[in-house]
Amino acid sequence: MKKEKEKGRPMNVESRGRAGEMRKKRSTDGSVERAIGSRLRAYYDEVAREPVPDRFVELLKKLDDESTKH
Amino acid sequence: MKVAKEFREGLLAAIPSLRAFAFSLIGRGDRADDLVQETLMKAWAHHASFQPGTNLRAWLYTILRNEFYSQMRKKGREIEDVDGAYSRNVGVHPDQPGHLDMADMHAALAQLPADQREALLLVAASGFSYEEAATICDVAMGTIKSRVNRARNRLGEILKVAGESEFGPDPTAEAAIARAATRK
Repeated sequence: MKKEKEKGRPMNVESRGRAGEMRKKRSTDGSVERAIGSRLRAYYDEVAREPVPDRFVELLKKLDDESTKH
Repeated sequence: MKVAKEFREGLLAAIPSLRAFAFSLIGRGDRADDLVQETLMKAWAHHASFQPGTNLRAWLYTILRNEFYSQMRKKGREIEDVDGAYSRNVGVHPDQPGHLDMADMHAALAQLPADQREALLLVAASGFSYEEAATICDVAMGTIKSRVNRARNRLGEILKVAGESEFGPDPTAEAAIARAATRK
């Protein structure tokens, strides 16, 4: 539980704990958040899982080579 | 002044995540990778201002985001153009597995205002805390929270309307989405 909170995914405990209170009625409940969250992460990971393109490896190498010359 | 090995390695390790964020801001393609390239160069040039031991990824995201919006301003583009560009650049390869899911999600995200989409992706996809996301976007934490909540609500509605039950989550979550959508 605590780990999730640290990562910024709210548990919405307030909405569950107050039966009959209307205050949180517009927010999603936990299972919807999880469903959306896992799909968002899958969407994000499609790119994040790709190997690092050569252009960046080369760039870092070039920058590093240049910095050691001075 | 030689750049520390840890810093270099940190940059390399952050690239996949930065690419995903750049993609989420401008859409797929060379322009996203160009933005990442500029970010890396800026980060390198300013390495002395980064405090080792602090959150490198958040620092890099901030640079990337600032660079993106600064470029938009220079070109005289409004935020609406960001949304337009995002909508046009689906960039999903048909032969990728689950490509319909990707296109669905991309199209759904395109319907969110840029600031909500960005807040949602930072918190729910990149794994930043609300506090970190607030620092990256240079707004109050409460602002991030409300953007994320609005984005989540809206996305839930969009995905349900788009018939997400075809490729979407399990029946339990489906029922929950149905309940949430009717619970105005």
